Amino acid sequence: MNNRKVVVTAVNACCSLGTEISEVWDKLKNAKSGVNAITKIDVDKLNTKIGAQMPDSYKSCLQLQKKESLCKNAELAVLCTQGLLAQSNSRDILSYYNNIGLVLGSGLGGLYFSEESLKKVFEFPNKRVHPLTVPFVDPNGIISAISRQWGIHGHQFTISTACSSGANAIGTALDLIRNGRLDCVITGGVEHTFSPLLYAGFDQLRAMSRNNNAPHIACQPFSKDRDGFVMGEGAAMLILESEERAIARGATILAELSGYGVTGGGHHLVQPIEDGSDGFDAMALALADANVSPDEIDLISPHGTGTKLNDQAEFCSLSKMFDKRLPNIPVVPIKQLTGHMLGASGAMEAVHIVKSIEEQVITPIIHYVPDGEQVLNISTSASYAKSIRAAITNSFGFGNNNVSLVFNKHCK
Amino acid sequence: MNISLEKLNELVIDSGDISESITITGNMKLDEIGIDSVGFFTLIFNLEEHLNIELDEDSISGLTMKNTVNDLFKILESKGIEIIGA
Repeated sequence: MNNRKVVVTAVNACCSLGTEISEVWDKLKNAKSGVNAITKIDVDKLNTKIGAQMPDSYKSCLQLQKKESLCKNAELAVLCTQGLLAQSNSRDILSYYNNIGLVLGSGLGGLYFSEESLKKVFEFPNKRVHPLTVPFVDPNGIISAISRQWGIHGHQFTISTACSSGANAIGTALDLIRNGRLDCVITGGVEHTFSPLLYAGFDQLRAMSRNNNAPHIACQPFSKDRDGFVMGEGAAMLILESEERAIARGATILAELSGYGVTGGGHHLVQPIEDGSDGFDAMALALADANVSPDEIDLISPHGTGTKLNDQAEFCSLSKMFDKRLPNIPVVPIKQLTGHMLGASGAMEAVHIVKSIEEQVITPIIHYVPDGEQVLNISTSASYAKSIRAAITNSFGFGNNNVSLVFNKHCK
Repeated sequence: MNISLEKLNELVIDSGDISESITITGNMKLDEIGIDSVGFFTLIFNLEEHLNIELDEDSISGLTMKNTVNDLFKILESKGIEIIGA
């Protein structure tokens, strides 16, 4: 493997908190929640009735380069890319690079469209289905939409590993640049989540919080009374470049992406390994890949879903990795604010980490009550300045798909 | 049941990769209204959804891009749909 350094030169996100990064970042810095009562689907008979929905008004922000029919997840991908490429740091990359890669993560693809179409097929068997059913259901539809809209012709594919999809996409993009196959990759995750079948499925898994009366603090990562996650949706993306090419074109470097670690627990369909050993191994691999010691980590963005079992296992892995230093390292579980964006969550958290490193700031969440003696350094007060040399983010998906990424403050 | 020419125009635009608005007339050839074959099938789907009708597959298959918009009107009219403004 080539040891080329890989840097982040732009980030963007659209989710329940806003349609572009400045709005989203401002809300994260001020611990504003995007979780509210669900309006997009009928949840009357379900236990959980809250979620972090992307407002439909996002459609008015879409500026299609060419008019075409897009499925909703592709719309989110295009909206996020639009904001990414509009930034001053990335405005010229389409002409600067001959060969830009596109690597995105999505756990669900066009599942919502499958649901809507299947309902019609069974209710009205004689009616025709939408002629674009196949491309709309295709998980890679998000990539091909971006490729068509901006005429991007490089290496491109979608990764689907449940909730770690976005993080795996970013790690794979890192490898593609390191090994010299590409110099620049647009990467991240996209997920359109609010559909009746998917939501009811998570409801039946008893994985989501039933704290419907307090939506803003329903998801309580690592807290004593946590009872599950809250669904979110949206997209988050980063532009990764080889350091030498980014410097050559005069780009401002926001952070370095230095490490990627992956493990498969081989344990259970949806439950984590209790002692968090597979998560620990993913972090250890990422830190070794980054050549960063646990002592250099100044910020942890955990998977932190707010479920009893996941948070317990992750706490074990964090304790083992950071030992006595753990209570002193800021931990920022943003899913309390953004909801769990499933396949896009790892990318959302990577974007949060890059912004934290760029501004050298620790952001708060709204609510945290330590779970007995398992105390983490989670802030519920105002954002504060802190020197961040390196940060780690975890994405631990169903089926024990564990991914850790390490980002550094960039040093030439 | 009826559909205005204006609404039909809107469905045509929504069904194809058409960046500028067009004004359809009965004499226009189907391949002149800015939709490719996938767009045409999408238009048929959207018409059926909007009007809550089921168009006969043989009639649709009989249309080629060389047929006119009037030929499409005739298929709609055979289902009792009145085209307002045509």
